Amino acid sequence: MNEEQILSNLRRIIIEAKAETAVILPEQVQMSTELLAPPLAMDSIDFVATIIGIERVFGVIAEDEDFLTGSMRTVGDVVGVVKRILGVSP
Amino acid sequence: MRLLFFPWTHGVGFGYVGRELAIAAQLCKVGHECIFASDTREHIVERCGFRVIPSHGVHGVAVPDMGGRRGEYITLDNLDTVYGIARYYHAERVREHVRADLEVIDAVRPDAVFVDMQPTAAIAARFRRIPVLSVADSDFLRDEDNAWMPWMSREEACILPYPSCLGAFGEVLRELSLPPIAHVSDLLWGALTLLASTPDLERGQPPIRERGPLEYIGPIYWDPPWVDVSSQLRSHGRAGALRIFVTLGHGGKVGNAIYDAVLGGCDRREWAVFVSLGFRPPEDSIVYPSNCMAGGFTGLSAPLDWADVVISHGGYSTVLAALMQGKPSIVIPFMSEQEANGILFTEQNEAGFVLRRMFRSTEPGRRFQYRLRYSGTSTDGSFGATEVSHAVEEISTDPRFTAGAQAASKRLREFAADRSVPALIERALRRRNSP
Repeated sequence: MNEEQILSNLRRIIIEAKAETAVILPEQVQMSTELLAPPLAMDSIDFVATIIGIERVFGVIAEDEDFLTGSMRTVGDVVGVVKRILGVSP
Repeated sequence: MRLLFFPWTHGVGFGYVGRELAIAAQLCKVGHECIFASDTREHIVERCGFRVIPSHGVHGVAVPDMGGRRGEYITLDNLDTVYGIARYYHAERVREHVRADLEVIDAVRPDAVFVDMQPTAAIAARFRRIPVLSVADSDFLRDEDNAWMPWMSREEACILPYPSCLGAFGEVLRELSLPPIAHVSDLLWGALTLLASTPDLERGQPPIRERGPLEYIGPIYWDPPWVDVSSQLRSHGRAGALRIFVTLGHGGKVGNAIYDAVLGGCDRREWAVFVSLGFRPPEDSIVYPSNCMAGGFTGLSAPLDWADVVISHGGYSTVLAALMQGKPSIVIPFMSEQEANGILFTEQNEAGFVLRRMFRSTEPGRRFQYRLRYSGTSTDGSFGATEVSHAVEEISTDPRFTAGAQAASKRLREFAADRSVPALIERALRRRNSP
């Protein structure tokens, strides 16, 4: 799975995770999109939903240390973590 | 007897470790050997003189760093969700932890395994046919979907989207040819389950579905034997000052803004404040008003003995300790279970009140909001020093709260007077071993 495919899957995961509180369009989820700032403005519950989505879609078991909120600023950072878990070369 | 203790290591509180330390200390006094499977970051267990055999890293350290979760309100609706945080909805994860716990059990060869909410150690012990002893808050043993958020309906309380762990536990139990479970809390029932509460404190809640021998043992909490703040506290505060004990957990969860609001709200010449900071990192800068003395991890007994009023986060051990010592409490919860403790134990006994209540929001884009006791609705749960000042004024001038706390204390002390935890454990294990 390449970076583009990971981003595409992650886009769907984040849109689904945010669905309860916001309507996010696919074009609003880009590598440079900030996680905590609008339009995503993700809270801890959005992060949990996203991590569970990542586990489900990519078939991995996430470790809390992988997804420490303080260490991830953008969607691209999350893509980087997924690549590392999947063993995709940078 | 040799007992192997497994505290819960995925939580945010010290209570799980502290309670097992308190029980282990009592058992050691009567000649039993107690060994632990994990320790805190600060090596509290080892410092108490107990041997620690780390469970091959799978449980990490007890009382983890909160990292990015600091300051946020955590919504846990029931035990299944708590196990979700440990990713026990993956059978592979359960299997890995059971395997590691088995290795520790095989290395120690205990006569019994003692768990405080730790499910994989309970499974491993059952597989080796070693008796499981369990100590629990009452909500660990409840079946209701909203057991940790009883002020909400089950639909409202379901906020964190973790999958249920029941299937994964069931899969591993089947592989080990162990009996199935109907609810994840079934794992916490053993040869003896000790409930750190009393029937009186549990009144008004649904009955607990009993699945084995259950004994109420009353509040149980631990004080570090190497810390004694009594003498410092004796000389703290002018004569006649209202003495306020502030304890907001072990320190990893609460942000500086909260400490500033709480200590700022208590900043009056006629009040004296002692704040216990737990394991809070020393680099954290908190502004201490001149009437405030700060301590690190001090335990509860000495500050409670000194105080007239308590401001706490609502941790189970802290809330029950305040009741045991007859001190009225202002509860500022940072997670749902703490809010439930404040409602069910502090408010129900008229021994104080919850300062900030969480509720499901009907506003678009919001999952929940907060209701502050004096200043109304807050979207983010933040509050200022004035909110705290009002609370201290109310609790210290309305005699109902002190009377409620003292009445609860009398009942709890009477209940605890004839309870010996080591004797209960010895009896349960004898009963189990008898033909």
